[in-house]
Amino acid sequence: MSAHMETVTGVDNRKFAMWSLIASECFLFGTLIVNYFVKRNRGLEGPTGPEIFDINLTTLSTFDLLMSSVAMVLALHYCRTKELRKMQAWLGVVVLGGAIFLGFQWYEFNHFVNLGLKLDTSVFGSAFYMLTGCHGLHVAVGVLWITSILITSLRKGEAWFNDTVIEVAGLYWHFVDVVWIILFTVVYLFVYI
Amino acid sequence: MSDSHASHGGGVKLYWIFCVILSVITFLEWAVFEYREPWGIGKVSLVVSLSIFSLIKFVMVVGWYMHLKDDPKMLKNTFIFSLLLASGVAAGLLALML
Amino acid sequence: MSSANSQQTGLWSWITTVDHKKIGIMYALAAFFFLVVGGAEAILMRTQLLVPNNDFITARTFNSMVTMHGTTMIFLVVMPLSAAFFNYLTPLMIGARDVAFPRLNALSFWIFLFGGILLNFGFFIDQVPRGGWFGYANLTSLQYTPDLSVDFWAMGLQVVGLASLIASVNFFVTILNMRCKGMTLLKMPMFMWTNLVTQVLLMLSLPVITIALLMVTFDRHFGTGFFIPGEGGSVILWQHLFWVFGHPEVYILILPAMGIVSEILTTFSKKPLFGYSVMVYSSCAIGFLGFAVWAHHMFTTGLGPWATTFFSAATMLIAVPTGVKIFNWISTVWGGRIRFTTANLFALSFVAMFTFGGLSGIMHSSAPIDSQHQDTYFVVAHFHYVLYGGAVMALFGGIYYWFPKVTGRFMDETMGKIQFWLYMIGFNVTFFPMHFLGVQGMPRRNYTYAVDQGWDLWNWVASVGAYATAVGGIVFAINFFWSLKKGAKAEGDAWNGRTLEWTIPSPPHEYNFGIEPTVTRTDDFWYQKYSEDGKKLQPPKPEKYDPNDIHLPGPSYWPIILAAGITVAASGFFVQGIGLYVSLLGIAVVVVSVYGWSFEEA
Repeated sequence: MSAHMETVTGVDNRKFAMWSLIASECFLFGTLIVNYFVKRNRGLEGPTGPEIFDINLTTLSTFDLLMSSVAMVLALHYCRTKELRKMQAWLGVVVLGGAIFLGFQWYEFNHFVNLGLKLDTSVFGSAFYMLTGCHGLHVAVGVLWITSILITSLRKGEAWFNDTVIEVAGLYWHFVDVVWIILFTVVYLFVYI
Repeated sequence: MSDSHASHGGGVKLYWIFCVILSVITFLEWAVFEYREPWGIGKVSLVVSLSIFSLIKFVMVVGWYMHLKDDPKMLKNTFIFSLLLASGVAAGLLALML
Repeated sequence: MSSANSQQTGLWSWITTVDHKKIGIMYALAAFFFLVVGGAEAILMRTQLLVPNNDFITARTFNSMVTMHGTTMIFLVVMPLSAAFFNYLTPLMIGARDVAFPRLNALSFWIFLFGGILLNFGFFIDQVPRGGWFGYANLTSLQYTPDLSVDFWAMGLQVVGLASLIASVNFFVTILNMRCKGMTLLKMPMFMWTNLVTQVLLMLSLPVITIALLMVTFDRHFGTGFFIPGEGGSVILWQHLFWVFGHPEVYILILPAMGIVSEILTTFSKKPLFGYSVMVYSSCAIGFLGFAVWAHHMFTTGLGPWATTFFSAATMLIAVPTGVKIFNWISTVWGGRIRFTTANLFALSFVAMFTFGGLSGIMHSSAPIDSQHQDTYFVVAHFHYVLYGGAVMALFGGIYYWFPKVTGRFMDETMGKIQFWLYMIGFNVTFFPMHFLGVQGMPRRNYTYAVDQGWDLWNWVASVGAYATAVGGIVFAINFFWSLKKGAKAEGDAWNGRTLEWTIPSPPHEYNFGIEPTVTRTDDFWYQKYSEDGKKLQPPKPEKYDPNDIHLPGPSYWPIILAAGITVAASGFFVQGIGLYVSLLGIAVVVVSVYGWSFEEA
């Protein structure tokens, strides 16, 4: 019922709702970031950030997520110009980018565990895993969502160019990217601060 | 429906230009961190420069990829207000806890 | 889609409803049930404290009563009752047919209901939460509370919090996007403004408690040490995070009530709201400043002089817009032709009682004075004056005021007045003496007190007041059920009202408005009935319309199934051995429901 409705602001209800959710998530990640900063130098045992962070790898994942954001905005563009194959291709790139990011994160978490930093080793580890894990969970949900959209498009073909659905998913995806932009800086690049 | 750059390749070109800029900035972030010692970048300069870099990326993605720049005021204000309030509360908490 | 004439009846129609009016009614009924539960918890406490050295209930039980009374009244009574009014009235007051996301609306209700059951589930297995409604760390750690009580509390709150978060986005978008033609933001009813601010507060504060509760759960189940000092954690961080949520939460509790009071007072004084735009700005200021005062709950934790000063000043500042609202309500009523209906009595009493509570609140804002109040009954007096004398009284006023709209019958005024006086007298008899007990040093949350403290008299008096209130509650229940069947019939414009909900029949059609209204000013309906100088006008003839042309969203069973999935996923923490599988099952139900929902025809 919220589709195709005339709205006072001119913004589709679903798009407004997604922005509201994003506003809410500023506080979600804000809390996690505060917790991380409070805890990062208070671990009593196990390795610390400077000892284990691999900035080269993290830079690659940042770049990967940025590319997936570019792909997302292109997918929306081609949805609006009704170029089906291009839209589907770029949606596929988004999914691939997200999956690669998750792959990097999986590798990183495994590597840290091998170096002795588990979820319960120290408050630094707990705060780190909770923050980046929460972000990773958001990425995973996004990958699932956009994959579903891609499959819907593959099944319905030319009959389905629902740009609001793609725009709303895109907003979510870009937001996930934006959070990572912040995390890359405050968690990784600030490791020695 | 929000406005669209749909009909022209100009929109696509802008997205790619931003993509290059975002990539360059990411590379610069890595470089500033990696070469902070040889380049003599102290802690303060590091924090300031990295913060500026990520702020630029933030604004570019939010303003142009998420099209917030072109959206109605009420939508813009919803996000900006929440972001500023969250930052303020986070800053307060950090001041109290660190 | 279903057309306006395909009304269903019966239990299944309620389970699958997406109609905001039915959902509002369900919220109210659930809130009434939990009001009885929370009230019983209060009665048990007051009976235990009736005399010194009492052994009516054990200390453990008393601690559970303290915890559950607060948790229930806040999350399962005041918030859902406010939600009931938001649900029922928002589309009606802004001239819409339903909210922006009808199925999401239903989802919020079912998540709340199941979450409320989860929160109280401990009663069935004698593991009732007993760490206070604020669950201070590290009492909540596994070391100090090894049983499941904390998990019921934490998970229960997570679930009901999710309901509120989803609803907040829904109502936020509804109010901004679905107002009828001509209704700019500054022409909305005042209740819609307090609604809007409340939704923003919910949207932004809930994530903080979500993370904090997650951290508690992780500490207990996954070996982390966020709030465990011995592992590098910090108990004070819990207090900060809790109150960053907790303070906006109290404004979430009071703002809807304030909006209801604005509606009732204007109708029964036959005057417009005094200083409408100032009221709007004050409400916004209260909402915004609400995020800047949280540490006034922590003045005795050693924040340091800078922080203490800041929070003290900010707290004093927030009294200004609050005080402005009080003066504006008084000015609204001043010189009006006042009808002392039961609804109005409750609304007027709000103004007085909330002022009392605000005065003791302002006393707390001074940190040195607060160091004497902290953890004494003086604080208990303060928050009951604002939450009970304030919010609860206003909500009852709202019930008497809008009951005719919802049911087509008035509640009985005689019984209403009896309830009102029993509540007013009972409430003041219970809580006014607590100011004395507080300054006499009686600490909070203690299950008993010694004979030679000098606290006997006022405790006894306070408990008697509670019994009077309980009788008032019984009178209300009788009135409620009697009026449903035998109350005087009410027309659409039951009270000669000012806002759009009074332009449609009582009870309304499923589609609310036959033709979507157009307004030109605040209280537009009033000025269709009366000219500026009070002369009766000939209201325009209602336009004809065909109900069959109106299409409403059809019912759906996905909301209740999705809500069940979420609750089952949360319950995995309470089940020995197979807990993980229980949670996975819940998550699977959630995933299936999300897809089913997405592909359902609107």
